[in-house]
Amino acid sequence: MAAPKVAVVGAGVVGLSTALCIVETCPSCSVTVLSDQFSPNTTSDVAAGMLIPHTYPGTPIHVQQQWFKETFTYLFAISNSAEASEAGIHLVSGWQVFKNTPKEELPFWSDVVLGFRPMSKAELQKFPQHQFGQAFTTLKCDCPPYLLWLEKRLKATGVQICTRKVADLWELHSEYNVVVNCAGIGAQQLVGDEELFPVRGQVLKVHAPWVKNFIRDGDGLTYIYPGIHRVTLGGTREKENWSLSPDPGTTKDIFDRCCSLEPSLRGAQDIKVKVGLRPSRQSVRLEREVLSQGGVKLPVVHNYGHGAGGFSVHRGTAKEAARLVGECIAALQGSSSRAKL
Amino acid sequence: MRVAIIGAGVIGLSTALCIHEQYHGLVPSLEMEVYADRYTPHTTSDGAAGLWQPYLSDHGNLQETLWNKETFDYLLGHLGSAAAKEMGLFLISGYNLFTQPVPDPSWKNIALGFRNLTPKELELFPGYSYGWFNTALMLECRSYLPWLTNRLTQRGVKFFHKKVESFQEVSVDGVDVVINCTGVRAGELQPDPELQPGRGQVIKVLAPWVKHFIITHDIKSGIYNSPYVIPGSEFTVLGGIYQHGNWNEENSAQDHKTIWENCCRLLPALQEAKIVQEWSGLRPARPRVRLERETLRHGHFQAEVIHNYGHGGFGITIHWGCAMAAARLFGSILQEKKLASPPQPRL
Repeated sequence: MAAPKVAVVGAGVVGLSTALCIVETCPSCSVTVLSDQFSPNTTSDVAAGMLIPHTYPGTPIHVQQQWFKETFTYLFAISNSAEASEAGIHLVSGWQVFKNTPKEELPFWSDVVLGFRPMSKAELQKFPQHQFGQAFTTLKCDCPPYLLWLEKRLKATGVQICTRKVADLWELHSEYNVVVNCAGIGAQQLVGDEELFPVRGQVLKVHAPWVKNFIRDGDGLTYIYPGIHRVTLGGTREKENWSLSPDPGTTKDIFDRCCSLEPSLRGAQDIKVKVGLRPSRQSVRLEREVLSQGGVKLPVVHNYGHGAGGFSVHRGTAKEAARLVGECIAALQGSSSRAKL
Repeated sequence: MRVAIIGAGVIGLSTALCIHEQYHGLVPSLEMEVYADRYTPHTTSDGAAGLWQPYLSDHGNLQETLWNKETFDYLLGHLGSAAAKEMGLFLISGYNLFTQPVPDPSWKNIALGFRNLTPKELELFPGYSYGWFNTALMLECRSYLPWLTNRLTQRGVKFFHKKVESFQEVSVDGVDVVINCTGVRAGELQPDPELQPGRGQVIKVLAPWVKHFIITHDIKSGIYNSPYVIPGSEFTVLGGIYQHGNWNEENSAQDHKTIWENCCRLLPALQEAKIVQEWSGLRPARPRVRLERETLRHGHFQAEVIHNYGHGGFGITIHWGCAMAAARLFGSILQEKKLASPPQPRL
């Protein structure tokens, strides 16, 4: 196969980073990104982009650890380079605080982030309602900058990026040799995955440039994540709620919860409200599938269902997806050479 | 009782507020005036980034370490208040970098979460093999000085834009106590060979992705002669110049080059940062802070002077501890004049 044609469906952080990994591992591939939404209108754009992993109940911990480590290492190098500000990647330090001491005091990712340690008594004094805490330094991927930077790198390698609503993966079978499904929450409609469900998150993006540290309640519901220009205040985790409309009552509730963690936020300006639907699943669907109709086959690689942890594992899952794409191409080349015999 | 504060930098204004807060109730006749030829944003304090961080070593000067601690604790107590944003006060974490191991500083237990850097963290800073991480405070004077001014104005303190040429000038006018917070130019009022300018230059840039302070140290070059990056609420301050004895307040192209090249080497992404301003100032350097009373007599007039100057590059860091010490000296003056009973300890 001269130049295998690969379509990547989806242009969020997973779609774009997967396309980039495919190009890196298969330079002869002709890669096209197809999506109906692009930055700043993807789910990724709503997220704060903090590298603090979500735990997938259905994926082995050592796999999640590997994905996170790969992602962290990759972004760490960018944050340390001249491209850091363009890519929107920066280090941020802060605290994860718990009202009650968690059973598991050392999360699986504690040795990947920097300087992880329990908070001192003096540090905890700032959080009178919380008994226990962890201090560490991690990375943040600001969107849109990160997605725009990925798009720029893709275009530089000749990847085509096209606006197109794909209703059915099969519709691509005549134009592409391999299809990669990074449709996120869109995969529910696209491939009818009933295990995929939205977890609605509402956030506020505010102007509060004096906030330099992140603060996260260990319950995952209340968090303050300082980005390049705005601080993301969150949030909610509403299972099976498909509404993309901001809810004013929720806005007030988020703001109040965040102000109780960081009182100076009362002075925050220019509050923007955003909603995203985390594409949630017991485990990330990261596997090959072969679609076939009437004797025609279409190899598919699925890479979706990252839920609350998309940014934290995006590069690791993208690399695995690219590896699976490589397997698909090898299989196609194997079968085509067999056909030649 | 008339009290004149000379100098309207962080030391002058905070000392004025501290004294007024503590003694106005005890001395109803207290009239306070501030005299300065430079007000915010043109004071030395305004040019500083505003990071609370004492020097690496206190040279056994426990008094100054205590004042640093009192300042930190005082500011920490204000963090959760509604005033914090207006004061320009916020928490910030960051790195101190060295090319060799160094002893822990006097302030390791004052700052929050002080620890050594891990090998992974040191990978961020090629050329540096040892370092600290801690959380400290920023107090931006372009907000803090106006905040202090507002508090003082509300209390009826009067401000005069005037260069005081001598202590006599003020005492002849009927002032009972003079608080000398004249910083680097204190020598013009009373010669002090120990007071020297520690000239600094900074470049202010827009680099909002920088969330940590990074202070490098070169033991051979001395404090502040090694690059540092300090992110503020709006601008990030790049610096690394300390020239002892240099009175020049003009920006130097050579120093600009030094700062820019060194800081960009430290943080390559800074190359994309937009330069907004350049500034030079004179740190009022002295082997130790001059914080003491002096009685000046000339002819019929006698004035009590409280000196509070010579805070070098750590004025913001130490200001409140010194203000309280100056207030205690003021209290002793009142006692002597039988104007007040000993001040009660502040709750």
